[in-house]
Amino acid sequence: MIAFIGLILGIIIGVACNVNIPDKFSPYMSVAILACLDSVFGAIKANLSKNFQTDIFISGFFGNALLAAGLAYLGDKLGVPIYLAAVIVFGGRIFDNFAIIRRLLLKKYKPKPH
Amino acid sequence: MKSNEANIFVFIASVIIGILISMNISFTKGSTNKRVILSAKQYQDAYNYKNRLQSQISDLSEQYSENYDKLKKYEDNEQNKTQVVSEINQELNKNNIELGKVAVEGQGIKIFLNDAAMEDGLDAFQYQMRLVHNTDVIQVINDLKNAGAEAISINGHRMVDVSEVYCSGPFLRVNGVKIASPFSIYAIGNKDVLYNYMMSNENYLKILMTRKIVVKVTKEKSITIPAYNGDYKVEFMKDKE
Repeated sequence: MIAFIGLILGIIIGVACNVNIPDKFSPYMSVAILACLDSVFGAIKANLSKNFQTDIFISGFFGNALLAAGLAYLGDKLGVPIYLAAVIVFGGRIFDNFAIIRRLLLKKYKPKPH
Repeated sequence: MKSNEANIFVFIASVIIGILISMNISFTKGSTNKRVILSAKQYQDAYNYKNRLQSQISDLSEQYSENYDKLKKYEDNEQNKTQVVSEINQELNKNNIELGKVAVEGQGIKIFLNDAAMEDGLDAFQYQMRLVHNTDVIQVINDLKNAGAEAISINGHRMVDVSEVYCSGPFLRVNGVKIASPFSIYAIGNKDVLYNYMMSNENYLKILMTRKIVVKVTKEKSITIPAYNGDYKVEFMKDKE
């Protein structure tokens, strides 16, 4: 829930500031956003399963984003669409994490049989 | 406590993601950066076009730096007049070589053309077909130019841009001089390329051969082509600057 509020708040701030990333960096940014999203989903999952670690989260959040953007850039220079690797890995992990979050949440709110 | 900390971090992270997403999508001016959807083929074409432009740019910048160096050299050597003069002479010489005002030497091919042997009982058409005409020589020269010949001469007359090959009764007129068959055409260029091109089936020499005209093509290691000794008449054209 808190993530959604943050997301909406962030979008509002972004629109209000009206800063545009140059078109050139737009594709790299998209991959970086995907990596960030993956980290957030991972954090929510870890939070629900009670093994959240701050250092892991922060390093993953920025490290994954930078690595994904860097790979996309390198792939562009080499002419190999490496960003597909990032999209597939992070996309797959987002769905995995979401599946686990779903199960955890459902288990949490399921009425316990008396 | 642990959960609270996690919530704070997740909140901050999602704010950052939100900002990034909104920056990337840019709701405000959607019209300026419209995405163009290309098919794979179109993308490939556009990509090739981009590469071609880039290589052109690099070529041009190379040329620019070359000319810039030259200019720099002239400016630096302003006192040293002799060097400047010698360099200008070098360039003049290069231009003369390209114009055909200097005798040149190099590898190339020699094409020998002669009228076919006449037999009795030929009708007028067959008789005409067995002669080497000005059009034949023009076609052969065109083929040579197409094959990349750098300098061409016919019976010792250098072909330049103002040279003519004109029918003059039983003779040909080249550079204002009448020449008779047999014709020896010399061409400087890559001898293998010239030879293979001239002897390929699509080219004019094959047609001449079917007309029984004597055609002999030989590769030469070194041939000499004399200078153009006519005049360039410049009467009407002017430097447009």
